[in-house]
Amino acid sequence: MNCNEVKDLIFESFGVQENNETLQKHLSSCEDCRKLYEALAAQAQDFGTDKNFELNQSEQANLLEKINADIDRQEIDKAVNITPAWKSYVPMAAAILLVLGVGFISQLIFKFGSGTDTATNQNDRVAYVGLTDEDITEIKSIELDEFVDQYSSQYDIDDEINMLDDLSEEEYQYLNENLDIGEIL
Amino acid sequence: MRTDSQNRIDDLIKEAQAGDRRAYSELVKIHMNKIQALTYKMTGDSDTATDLTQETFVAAWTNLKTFKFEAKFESWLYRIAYNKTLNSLKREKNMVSDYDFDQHISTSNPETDLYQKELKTKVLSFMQGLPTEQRGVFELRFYKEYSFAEIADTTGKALGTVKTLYREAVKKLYDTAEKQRWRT
Repeated sequence: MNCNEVKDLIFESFGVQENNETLQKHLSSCEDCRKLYEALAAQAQDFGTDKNFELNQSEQANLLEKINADIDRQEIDKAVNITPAWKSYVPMAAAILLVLGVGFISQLIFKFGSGTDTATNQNDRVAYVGLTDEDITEIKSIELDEFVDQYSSQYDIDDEINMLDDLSEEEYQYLNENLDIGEIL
Repeated sequence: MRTDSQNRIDDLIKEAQAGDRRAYSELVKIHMNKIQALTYKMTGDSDTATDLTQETFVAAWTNLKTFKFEAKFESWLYRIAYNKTLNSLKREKNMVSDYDFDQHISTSNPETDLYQKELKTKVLSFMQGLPTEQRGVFELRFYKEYSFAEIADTTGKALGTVKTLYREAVKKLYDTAEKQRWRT
């Protein structure tokens, strides 16, 4: 251990009992380091202990009283501002209701408001669950043919215009979406 | 090995954690002077120190249930006091030069009073000349006799940083003493 390392150790052990053998060995053979060590040891004695900074009895009693008063105030505040357990669930319940409400209103708009998604289409979606796109196209094509055949059979070949007049709005829309009306005519 | 006094303190903490205010008052009485000594030497002002000691114990009560017996209760209090003092010093840039040393000297012996006054003047002058973080490290090492590892844990600093801060503080002390010696 060289002198610089020993000096660091001396500074680090200021005011603390240090029984480092290497340090003691170095001090016994190095006058400079020993002088530093002894000078600091003398300084340490002049720095006293925590006892020199203690409060006297009445100061301690006063401080304890203040601490207790502060804690009392804090406890009273806590008791006054106490929140019933159920109140902590209110924000969560409100959030759930909001989500459900928005969902419900969306459903209503979807069902009745837009008019683009008819009851038939909705039923279709349920009926076609699990089928491939190709299957669905084929089924829809058969359904369309059947629909056209069913209606056509009620009318004479010259009576196509009447046939269209008799279609309900929903049926007309269905045909319009799936078939060129011009083709029927 | 745990001593009877440590066991007694642990019992008091458990009672206080269960809401027993009398047990907490006992804990305050046991640790009050150590905390006051820390805040006093760090701030250099007895009234500010008393306020910080008060705040420390109120905060400790509020957070008592978070104390898990993993560290010493004393270290836990030091950490609260140290942080509160650092915050206070940063907030107020409280480099006190007007010490009220006489206020806490209450013996009836004039010689003791003089010695106390000189000692306090010397210590507080030295401490106030240090950067605030060095003050805390010096206090914990010199007065509380903490190991560097314990100081690192209490202050939240790296072990090497803590050692450097202490060495620098002691070097400063030594240099000041040397200058005074040459002057006289």
